[in-house]
Amino acid sequence: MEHNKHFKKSAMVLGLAAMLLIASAAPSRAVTIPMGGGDFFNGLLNQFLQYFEEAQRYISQAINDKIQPLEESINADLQNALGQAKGVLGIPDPIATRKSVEETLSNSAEPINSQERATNEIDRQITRATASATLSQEGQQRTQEQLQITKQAVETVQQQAQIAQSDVVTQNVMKRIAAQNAEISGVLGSMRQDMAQDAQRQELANVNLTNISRGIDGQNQAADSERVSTGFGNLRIFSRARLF
Amino acid sequence: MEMLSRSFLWKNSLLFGAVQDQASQIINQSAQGSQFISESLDRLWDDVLSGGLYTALANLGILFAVGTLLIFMVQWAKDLIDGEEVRSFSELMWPILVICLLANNASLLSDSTKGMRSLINQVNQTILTQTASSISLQEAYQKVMLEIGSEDLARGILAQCATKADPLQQQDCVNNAVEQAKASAPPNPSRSYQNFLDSLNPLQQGQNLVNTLQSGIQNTLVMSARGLLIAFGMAFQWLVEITWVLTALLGPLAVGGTLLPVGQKAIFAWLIGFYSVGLVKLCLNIVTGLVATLVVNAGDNDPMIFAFAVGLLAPILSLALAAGAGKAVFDALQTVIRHGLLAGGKDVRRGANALGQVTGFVFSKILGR
Repeated sequence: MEHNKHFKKSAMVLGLAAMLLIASAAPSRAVTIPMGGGDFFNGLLNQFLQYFEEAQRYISQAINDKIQPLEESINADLQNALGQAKGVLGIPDPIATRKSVEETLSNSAEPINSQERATNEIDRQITRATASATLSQEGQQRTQEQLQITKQAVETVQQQAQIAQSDVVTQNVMKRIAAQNAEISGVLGSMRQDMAQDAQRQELANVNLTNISRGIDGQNQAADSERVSTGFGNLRIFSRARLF
Repeated sequence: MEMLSRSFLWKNSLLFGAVQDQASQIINQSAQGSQFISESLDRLWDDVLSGGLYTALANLGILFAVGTLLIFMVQWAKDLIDGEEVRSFSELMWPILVICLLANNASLLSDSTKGMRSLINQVNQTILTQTASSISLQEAYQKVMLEIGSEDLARGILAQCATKADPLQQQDCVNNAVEQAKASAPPNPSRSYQNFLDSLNPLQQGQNLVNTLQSGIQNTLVMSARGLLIAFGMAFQWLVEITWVLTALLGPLAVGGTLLPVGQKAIFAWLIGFYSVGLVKLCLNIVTGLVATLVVNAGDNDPMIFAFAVGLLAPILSLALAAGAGKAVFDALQTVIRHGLLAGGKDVRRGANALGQVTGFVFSKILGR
């Protein structure tokens, strides 16, 4: 009797173990989940490069449109200074540019000092170049595409999560993780959207700041010209002096 | 200039040259301009005194003269009948003088007016070219003016450096301004101008940037006021000449009214006015020239004080001086005539003869030239 009982117990354990073995040994027909992978990252990288291309294009256009007249008005070579300070991404280094422009203009033959005018204008053009990369039509297009990519990514994650919920051959923990992933990616997507908007607001603020800076510089230039021309005017009057 | 600035040559060869070129161009042009002004004054005199306006005024003067001649003749005839022969004959000098002067569109009067002008102008030239301690009034005046102008130019160029926030840029700006001030300085600077240049040079004086700016910068308002004051003085100088021309233009009317028996003889009033305006010119030139000589010799100059002295106070002073001198002569003549009229015939005769002699002498001198 005692032996029979013992046999029964061990047979049950054995059976359970066999069941477990069978269950666990069943081939896990794991689904290969499409990640979007290469496409997704390539898209992001392209967007990134386009941003700098846009800025670079603006800079080269600004050199032709704005810097050249400035050069002619102050009789100095600024393109050289701008070109020398260009970084690997094509945008001039504002600090290096300022320095080399200052050096170029340190000995000026013109009566009206134009260092500040030139350096500030170049700073403004660089600011506007980066602003243009975000705010131009292409920049807006790119922002929209970025958001589209993000949206797709979030949607893909959510779909994965839903599919995970209906998967039977897995543990509940994994399902919960999949659900959390979906939520996190949703949050990340909305953050990406916020950041894109922030970038636009920031660039708009920068554009307005360059306008304010232009206004102040214009006033300073007017005051400078007034001072210098008072001197010239006095010389003109005084050199007429003659007793007759 | 344009070609060079395109290349990079300008950096070395034309450094600071632009301001110098500009300044010397302004100086040359202005000097030429003032030369043209004083030359064109001669033409103005010729044009006015031989033009249609003078003829018209001469005709008006002749009309006056004919009218007053009738009154004069009546008066003279009355005197003749009353037995005052001697006085009356000396009085006849006036109608003869008036007729001579106004005949042929007052050509004699215009010539003698020009003669009087050239007399005063010769005195004027002698005064201006006379050297007072190695420098003539003209040279001193022009030197001081040119130096104040260059100083103001330097101050104006330096003033813009105060607005530069970047220390490096400010230093560059000050250096450029100082170099430009030196480059555009007039040759042979006086001691006061040299002092000014030295006060700008931070290296020489061991000054820092702030001191340079402090000593070099002047309020734009003050500088403009200086320009205005000097311009005022020059405008006065021009207008004195114009006034002189105008006075000369009124000559025929004064001569025409001379025969009027009442009051002062108009020709004397006119002559005194004419000489008074000439005196204004002389006084102005002497006062400004002496102030300039003072400044050059003292080696110290405050441009603002000079501008007030030369631009504003010298015209006022010269007006007062000339008015005083004119008034003194006028009063003297009036006294002579009133005295002569109140006294008996002998005195009257003596006074009239004296006047006639003086006038005759003056005119003979003028016409003789």
